[in-house]
Amino acid sequence: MAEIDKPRPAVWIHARQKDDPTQGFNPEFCERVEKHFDIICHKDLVANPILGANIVGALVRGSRMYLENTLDLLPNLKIIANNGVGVDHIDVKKYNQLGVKVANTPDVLCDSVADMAVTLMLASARNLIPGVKLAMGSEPVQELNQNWLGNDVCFATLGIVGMGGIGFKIAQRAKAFQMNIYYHNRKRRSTAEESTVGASYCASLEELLPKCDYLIIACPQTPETVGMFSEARFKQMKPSATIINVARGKIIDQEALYTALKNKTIKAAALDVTYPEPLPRDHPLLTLPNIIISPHTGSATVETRRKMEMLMLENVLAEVEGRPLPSEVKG
Amino acid sequence: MALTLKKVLISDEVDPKCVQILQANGVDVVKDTKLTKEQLIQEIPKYDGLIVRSATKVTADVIAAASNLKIIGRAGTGVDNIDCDAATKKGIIVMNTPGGNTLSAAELTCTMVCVLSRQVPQANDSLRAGRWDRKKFMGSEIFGKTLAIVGLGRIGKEVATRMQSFGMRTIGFDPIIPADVVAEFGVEWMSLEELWPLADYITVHTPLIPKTKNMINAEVFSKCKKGVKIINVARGGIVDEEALLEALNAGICGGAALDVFIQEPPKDFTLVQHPLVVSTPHLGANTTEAQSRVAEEIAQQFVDAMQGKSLFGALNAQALSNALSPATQPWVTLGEALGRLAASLAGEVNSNTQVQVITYGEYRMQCRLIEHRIARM
Repeated sequence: MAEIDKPRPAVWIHARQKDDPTQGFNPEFCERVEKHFDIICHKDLVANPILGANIVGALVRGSRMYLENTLDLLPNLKIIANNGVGVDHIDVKKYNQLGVKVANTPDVLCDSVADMAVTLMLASARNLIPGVKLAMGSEPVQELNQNWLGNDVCFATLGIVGMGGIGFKIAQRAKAFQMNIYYHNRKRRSTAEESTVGASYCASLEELLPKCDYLIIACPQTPETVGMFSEARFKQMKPSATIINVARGKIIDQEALYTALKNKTIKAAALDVTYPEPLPRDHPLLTLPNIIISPHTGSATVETRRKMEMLMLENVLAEVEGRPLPSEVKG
Repeated sequence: MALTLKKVLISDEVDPKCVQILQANGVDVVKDTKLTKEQLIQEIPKYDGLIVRSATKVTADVIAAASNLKIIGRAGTGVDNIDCDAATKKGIIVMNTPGGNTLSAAELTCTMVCVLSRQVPQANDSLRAGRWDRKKFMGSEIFGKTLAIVGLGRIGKEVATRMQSFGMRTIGFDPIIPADVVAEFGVEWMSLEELWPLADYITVHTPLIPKTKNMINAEVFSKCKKGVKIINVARGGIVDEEALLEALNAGICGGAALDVFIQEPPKDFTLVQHPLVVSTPHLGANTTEAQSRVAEEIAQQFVDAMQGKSLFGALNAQALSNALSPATQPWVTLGEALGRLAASLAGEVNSNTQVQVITYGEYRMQCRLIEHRIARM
């Protein structure tokens, strides 16, 4: 081909932060990307289809409907790099068949998400949210209520569903909190790993659930785990149990959760993830006193986000330079 | 399976090489550059490939009529004469030759800078009319002047490097290419607002898209140096023709060189007749070399697509086009068979017939191909 000059390879992003303050990528990261690639924002691609020809990578985050319609038709797309570890919103198999690799950001966010899981567990156990409202709210309080009590996390029993990178870090933290730790995983961890964190394996959820004062979900969303926490599962849990979810909203059947919380089948819930995100303001879950919901901020820290962004970029660079990807997800 | 092309229509003037290469690869080629829009709509169902330059307008209704069309090839870069959205929705690949015209367009741009600086065509006309008028054509040196380049892609970059050798300061804007990259070829990146007051010459090298339509307008002229010179070798409509005329008459604009017009050929010749305007009839890519190059490129790109080798130049195709791989052929055949079955069960099939295809299962990409094939039957 007689080409005078090859333009620089480009990456697709939804938007820059200056154009989309809540969804766009921050300028520092964009600058780092631009050392290697031209950045093409979605609106620019839509306006000028010729730009699509240079796009070799897509930096995606969150679930976006146009993902499939747009990314499917980029002729030179080699890699989709996701900002986050869960890729349930990406049809990895399809993209692999199209010759497009998919990469996520495992490991670098495990500590941050584990911190969040423990935060939710502690906040729930110690009634932090209502407590703050009491101590700082506009309603006058004469005396603090000596009989309004939370529960200790220390010496309580923790169950972890999904002992991957995040689950393991949760167990490490729980050990420091002197908790009794049980876990269920697709594959049992090695004895060495188990003893490091003091966790005991349960071969099934039936075995795990009745033991737990606190249950943390840290497994990926797959066809097998969607709706895992159904009405029947909640009945297997202790009435004094708290369920914590830092994985994906759909792993819990939200209607069943509502009923379980309302009827006090379980004591409380603390969720970093729901479906949809965020919940509409008239959602029944929001009417309950015994639930905390945070806005999917499990990995949303300055430090961790920076590490995730670097890993995304590293994956794209590796693909373009013909090196093995640091964190490919295979379909 | 690769992209099977049996019959290709070429509806604009292209170098004979294009026809030769396609025919040598077993494609039936019909070249007809005189088709009206209605005739094109009538003829297009007979073809599975179409090659155009910029004159043919491949609008949504042409695409709607193109029941067998698989690919539209643009011998050139700009695809504003093709409804890409409609093509994509119908599963028709749009393919251009991204580099072939670059040098010719860049060279014409540089020519225009030179010609504007010394009013060569006007001086030429004056002398042909028998006048020896030296005072009237007092020009200005290009050396040390500032050239503002809007759009720093392939063409903008080649213009920059050439005019730098004339001692011009080259400043420019591009929405995508960052400052340190354009600095590598000697251009100072600025925002549009910063460009206007500094420019002695402004040249545009962007596609025609909503954002660039009327980009050079009355407001921009009010921010420019008095006597600024404008060059448009890109697309008619990037410069607001009415605003340009006013600016020329008011002395704000000291000269314009136009290779492209909102209407080609223009219906209104006022701009073309203006003493300070130099025009050419869309000659940006009209060199034997460029035409030969893009004709060869588009034909070869079609052949590569047919052979399943690559879809270079495609703007809207699936990555790696595993759509072309042998593994997907059975799915495509299934889709076609289902489509025929559905059509015969449906009875009368016309443009109002709607097809709903619901696919289940893990082979979603193959399902997409089936959906596509059924819908096309």
